[in-house]
Amino acid sequence: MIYLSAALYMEASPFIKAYECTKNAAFTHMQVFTSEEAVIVITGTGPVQAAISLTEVLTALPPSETDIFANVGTCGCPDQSAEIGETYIINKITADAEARDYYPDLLYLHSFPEASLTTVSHLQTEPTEHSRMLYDMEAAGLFQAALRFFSTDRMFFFKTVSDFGENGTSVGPTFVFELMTGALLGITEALRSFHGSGTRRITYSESEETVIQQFLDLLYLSETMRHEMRRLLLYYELERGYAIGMIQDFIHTEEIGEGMSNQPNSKKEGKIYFERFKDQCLR
Amino acid sequence: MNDLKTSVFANQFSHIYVEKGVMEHPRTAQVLRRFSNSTVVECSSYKDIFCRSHQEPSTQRQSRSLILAQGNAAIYPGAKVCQSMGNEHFYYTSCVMNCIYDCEYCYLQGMYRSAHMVMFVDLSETFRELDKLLAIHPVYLCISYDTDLLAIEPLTGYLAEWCEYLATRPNCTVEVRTKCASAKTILSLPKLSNMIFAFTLSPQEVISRYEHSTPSLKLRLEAVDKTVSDERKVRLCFDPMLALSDFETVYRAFFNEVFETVSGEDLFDVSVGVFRISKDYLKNMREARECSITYYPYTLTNGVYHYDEETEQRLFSIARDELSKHLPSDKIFFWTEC
Ligand code: SF4
Repeated sequence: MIYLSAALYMEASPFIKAYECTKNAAFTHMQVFTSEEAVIVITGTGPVQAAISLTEVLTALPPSETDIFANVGTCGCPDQSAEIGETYIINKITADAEARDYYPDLLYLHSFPEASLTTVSHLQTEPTEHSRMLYDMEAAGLFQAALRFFSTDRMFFFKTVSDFGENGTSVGPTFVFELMTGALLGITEALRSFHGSGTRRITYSESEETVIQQFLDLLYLSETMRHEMRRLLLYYELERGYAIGMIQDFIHTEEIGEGMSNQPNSKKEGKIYFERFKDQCLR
Repeated sequence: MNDLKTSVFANQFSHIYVEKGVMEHPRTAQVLRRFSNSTVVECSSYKDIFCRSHQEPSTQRQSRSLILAQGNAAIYPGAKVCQSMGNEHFYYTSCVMNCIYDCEYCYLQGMYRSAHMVMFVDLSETFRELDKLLAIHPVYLCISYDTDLLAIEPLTGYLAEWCEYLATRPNCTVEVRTKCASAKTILSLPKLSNMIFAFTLSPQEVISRYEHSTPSLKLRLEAVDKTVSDERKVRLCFDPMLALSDFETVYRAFFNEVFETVSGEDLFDVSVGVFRISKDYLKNMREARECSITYYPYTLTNGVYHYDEETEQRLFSIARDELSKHLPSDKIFFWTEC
């Protein structure tokens, strides 16, 4: 799943369409759009507001270990040599209010220019004094909120330049929509390539999980020994082969189970089988 | 599958974070020249990147970043699970945190929450601290525990700087532990009697399976041979020995192969250790990476996980049998206590 946030509806609109999202009625005081592929949150403006909205959605719809988060939106750029409509991927976010820096890990190949971004808490009408190239109003808050749910390599911030932060510049909704439509393809392609490329852990299917649970119950294992057994199964899976097959063979050859000749009746008896199973795993 | 995965990752050191305070340091310039295509990001403190919460070292390893920092590489008394090799005043220091190699059993995965690499560019404070210690007693110092300094020498020049320092401090003996096979780099350094090159050797089966990106046994042995031929002090480290299936056959063949290339007489000494790891580190390592070494059902004694007594003794006795054919017992050091 891709979790995507934008401050304004017009920034998110091209993505809502691209990911075929529909409005999620479970959220009544903010706009959230969902599909099988994406969850899109319209956070509102300002770092605190953005962080609160994102946290609420991530708590209600918790991401898995392989899901990714992206923030998309427009930004100002005091450097007039930048091009309006150019999209940057952010390698450093400075929270202006806290004088703190946050760093998303950029581990994947991508084709965007990179930039640092300063998050300010109110709209800038003058070019900032910062040497940094870009500024927005949400990223620092979003980074902090997302960090509870995503590792630093699964967070991406894309900012599309909308203005040079000059006095009196106003960026209308239609223009924002046009800019984000222009940015859409590059961002969605990048996200598709990032998604699922991170580290994967061994997981068991529902039926495999049932076999493991029954085995643990059968052996009367204490909570600590259940953990130990799970680690042992993982060891076997990584070193030797199919752990579920090993369990099934063991149950069969030791003839343990209901109606079989051997049925452990206490933790003490279960421990004996545990040790025997361990020996076989290490053999 | 792996190839497919690798292709989506940026190059190693595609990003170099530089603390503001060391932007102008000559070592920074040297590194940045070498990686002129990398993106340079200025930072206030290396900790803002290296010590962030919620990092994913397994993914970071695919595209490590480099962090250049001011920090001081402090000098610490040697840890309990390390070998002092009979030296009374045993210390270690790390001017680099993390390593370009990727050994699945490496304790650094338990020590740091990041796989990115930090280089403290300035050694002068470390040298000052060391001088204070040397004024009190001789020092035996390991400088390449939390990294592999030889492997990054062409990039950093740290060993050359250490040599310059050591040339006038005969009461300071330094061990440079390495899996690197670049004899060329070693031979380019001044020859010092107080610098020991400690090559960690493992059976090729272990190298192929667990010591990712490291040179083969054959190349390491060639480097050992060239280093001893140049009359430098060489230690061989057979550590960690692992309880692979069929370890008896694997390790006996391995020791044979080693001593077909190297003569025991040419060695300064050898050290032997069986895999062991502190409880806290193992917990972190299990979180950081799924691998069979970390998930092995070890025995816990005094806060250290290790193989059961019988397995440990079998591994030690193979080493003892094989090594005693080539070296006197006072040149063989075993790590034995927990
Ligand atoms: S070479 Fe040493 S420091 Fe480097 S990864 Fe391997 S065990 Fe760790």
